[in-house]
Amino acid sequence: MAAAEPDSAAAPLLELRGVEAGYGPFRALFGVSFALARGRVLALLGSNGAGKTTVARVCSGLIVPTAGSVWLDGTDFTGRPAHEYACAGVVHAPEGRSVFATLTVEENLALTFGRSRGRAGTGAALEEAYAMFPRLGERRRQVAGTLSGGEQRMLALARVLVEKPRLLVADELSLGLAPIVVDDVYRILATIRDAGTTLLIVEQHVHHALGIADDAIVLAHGEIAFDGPVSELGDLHERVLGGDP
Amino acid sequence: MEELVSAVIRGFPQGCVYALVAVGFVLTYKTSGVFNLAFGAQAFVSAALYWRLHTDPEGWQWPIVPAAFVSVVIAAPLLGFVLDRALYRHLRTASPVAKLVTSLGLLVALPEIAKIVLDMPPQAYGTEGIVPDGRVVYRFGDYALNRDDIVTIVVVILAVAVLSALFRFTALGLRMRAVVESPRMTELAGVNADRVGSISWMLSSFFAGVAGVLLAPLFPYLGADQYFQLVVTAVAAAVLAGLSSLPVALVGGLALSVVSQVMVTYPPQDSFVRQVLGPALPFVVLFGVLVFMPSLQRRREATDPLAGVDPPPPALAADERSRALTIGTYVFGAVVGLGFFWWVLTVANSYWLARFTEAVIYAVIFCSITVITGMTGQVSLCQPAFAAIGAFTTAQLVTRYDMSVLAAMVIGALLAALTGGLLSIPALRLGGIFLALATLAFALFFERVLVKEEWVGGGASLMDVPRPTIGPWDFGDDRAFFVLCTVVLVVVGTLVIFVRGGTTGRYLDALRGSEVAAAAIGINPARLRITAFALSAAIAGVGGGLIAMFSERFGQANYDARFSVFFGLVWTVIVVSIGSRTVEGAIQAGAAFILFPLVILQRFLPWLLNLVLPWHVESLPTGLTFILFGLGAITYAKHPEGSVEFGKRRSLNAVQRWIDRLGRGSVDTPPDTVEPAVSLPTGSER
Repeated sequence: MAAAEPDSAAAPLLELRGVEAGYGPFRALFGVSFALARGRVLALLGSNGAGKTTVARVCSGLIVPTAGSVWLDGTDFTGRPAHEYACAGVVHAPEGRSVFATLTVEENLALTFGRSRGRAGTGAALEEAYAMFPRLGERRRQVAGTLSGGEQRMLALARVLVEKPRLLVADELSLGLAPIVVDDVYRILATIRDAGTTLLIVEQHVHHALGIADDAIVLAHGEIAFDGPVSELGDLHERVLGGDP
Repeated sequence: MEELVSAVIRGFPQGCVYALVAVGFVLTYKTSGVFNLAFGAQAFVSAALYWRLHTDPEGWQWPIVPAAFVSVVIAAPLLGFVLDRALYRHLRTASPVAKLVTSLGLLVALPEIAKIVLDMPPQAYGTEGIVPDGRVVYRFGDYALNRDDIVTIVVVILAVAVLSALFRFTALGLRMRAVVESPRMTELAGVNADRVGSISWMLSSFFAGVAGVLLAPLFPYLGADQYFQLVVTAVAAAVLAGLSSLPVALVGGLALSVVSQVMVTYPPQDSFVRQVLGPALPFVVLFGVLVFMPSLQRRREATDPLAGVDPPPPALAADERSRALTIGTYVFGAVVGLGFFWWVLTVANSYWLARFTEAVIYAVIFCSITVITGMTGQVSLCQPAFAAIGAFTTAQLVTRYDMSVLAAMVIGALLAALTGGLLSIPALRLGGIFLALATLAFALFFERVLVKEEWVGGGASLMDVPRPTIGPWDFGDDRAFFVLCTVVLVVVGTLVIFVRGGTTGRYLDALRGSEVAAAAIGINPARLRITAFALSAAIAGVGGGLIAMFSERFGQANYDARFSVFFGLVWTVIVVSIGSRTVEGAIQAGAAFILFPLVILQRFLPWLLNLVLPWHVESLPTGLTFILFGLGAITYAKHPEGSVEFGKRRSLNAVQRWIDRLGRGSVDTPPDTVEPAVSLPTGSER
């Protein structure tokens, strides 16, 4: 492999190099490369079908790139199973109602915390989650499939936010949440960023994301159209989101 | 009153047997999401190995402990591990029906593989259990239990306690359930889903092994069919438990046996309850539970929120054939078909004439599976029952009312259609595996109860069924009858092709894609499903009528050899592995069902092997048929159109590309690697 890799202290936390990926015969990404330094917040923008979710899935190991490589902390993670990404501190909040519908609220949370905190730490982590979202505490014995859409999002969020991961990949966090809850969510995101978590935020609703992000990437048709600090973005994202560039 | 108590107590050991199997069944479903009808086959593998190691008088005669250790503690989990690695790991996100078909394939193939590997005699007698001196009887007052019974009771109660604790209190139990719902999300939580899945299969397979060895003494001889019967009986208890609660499965198994025992002892000798309802109780309960239990009806298959990560299911290989190739394949098909037709009519002796006639009749019957599985995407396991209705009606009407045999066949088909339609009404809301189960329940009810009734099966003696005459034509001659069967096949095949290409077929396609979306554009799913079921049943009924004519003497005694429940599984497996979407597939399946063992296994392959092998091969075991088609059905999830059909399309496309290259004299990019300019919408937008 590559001989002169930078040592892990200098290497970015996450790096994609020439990633091509897709679903069966469908190709979604055409050579996507970027790096995300420790402690930064990166907003990933783009219109429907631009490949944002696919990038997020590649970053958490759900999709193995057909070409290119994924590096975490200077280590090549390409092709490793998703659970190794999770154990390396990458937490992915997938878009939509990503909860285990047949498990109870508490079991949903315990599944995540049991691995990261151990049996002993699970109780404390649960309390933390219920403190963050009191509604979940009231429904801890309820089967997650019977929660309302908003509550399911809360549950999915509680799972990833309490983890305090090294890298949080948040896919369309605001989707389907009341505006007031979205504000809350971004407040929590700011807190965990301050606690040292690196963030990769995928959003269609750009204003919230740009409010917190340091850098931005605009994707169009599976390729990177812009990569740089938010301040240099200008009105590019509007042009991209508004239609074909 | 004393009789009642005694019946309850007598039902108890049998109830523990049901409970043991039901618990194993629920365990597999809970930990793998597979409705594992092959549970009995897995149990048989361990039992057969144990028999070979310990019981067989000419075998190795190992002592009990090492034999049990090898067959239950080592072989059973190993089998589970292999199944997971080779099969179920790749099916975690497949539909429940695909998983069911896979388990059907295993159910058919596994015991045959075990028989060949272990060199089992056709019927292994003198089965002994795992318990030393298992037949020793203990008396409790007036009641007696033998050691086998007691150990079974202890094991089932222990198993429920330990497994419930596993699911309730341990991280592993939680992870197993999580993996069933969404392996991807479990991975995101940092859990190795593949490893958890392997452990799940090893656990449930171990449990199957325990059940297999423990229950072996119950049977007069050791056979996979014995375990199959036991499993389908116990399914009622498993479904009663909503496929999720182990204690309810235990209680359900016990209750089923006790109530059934009470029903056959308590009421007066010739009452309906004692004669019919008692023996049929498990199937009546199964059907009733499926139809009336609201939680099963409302249960949406919990879908994986990350299903979009997986590539979309492979579409049928596109038909981008040139006119020349299309005409070429048609001409080829016509030449082969007419060639066989000519050969059978002029050259073949009476033996081969009869076999080809049978093959044509089975092709007619298999068209019914093309309708139900190929067009609606549902699995029906009661096609033999529909065929039997056609056959019995034909025989009865001809014998009793002296009716024309063709008219009788038509009435038989109508009766089968009526039964199919009526059966589908209560099962309308059920989909997928639960519909398959309801049809299985009906098939079992038909087999255990109705066939034995004189007004259905015609009693002990066979009924004479003449060959038909239409005006001047007499089909009494075997060759003439072959022509008649071929004509019926052509008519039925054309009908199926027209239905598939017409409005009904399009509607059914829509329904198979999404019932909700189909209903939203104004398709009435209920009416459509009833139609499909009735049509399928009618086709099977016609085939059944032809079988009655073919046999010339038909009755209850023919039932087992032609239409037993097990054939329902085998037929589905064969048609699905060859191609359930096309009439062509049904015809090939009919030919394969009858001719494959005779031609390929007994003649062609031995001849081929004798060319290369230094020793002489007389014939290959007929079990290979089951193995090959069972393994073919296993690929259903990947190639729902059938693995043979898949291969055919692929090779035709290769020929097409070759023709293109010849025609243009240059090498083109194959069309399927053209990249879409715009990516696929992300999965969650569906």
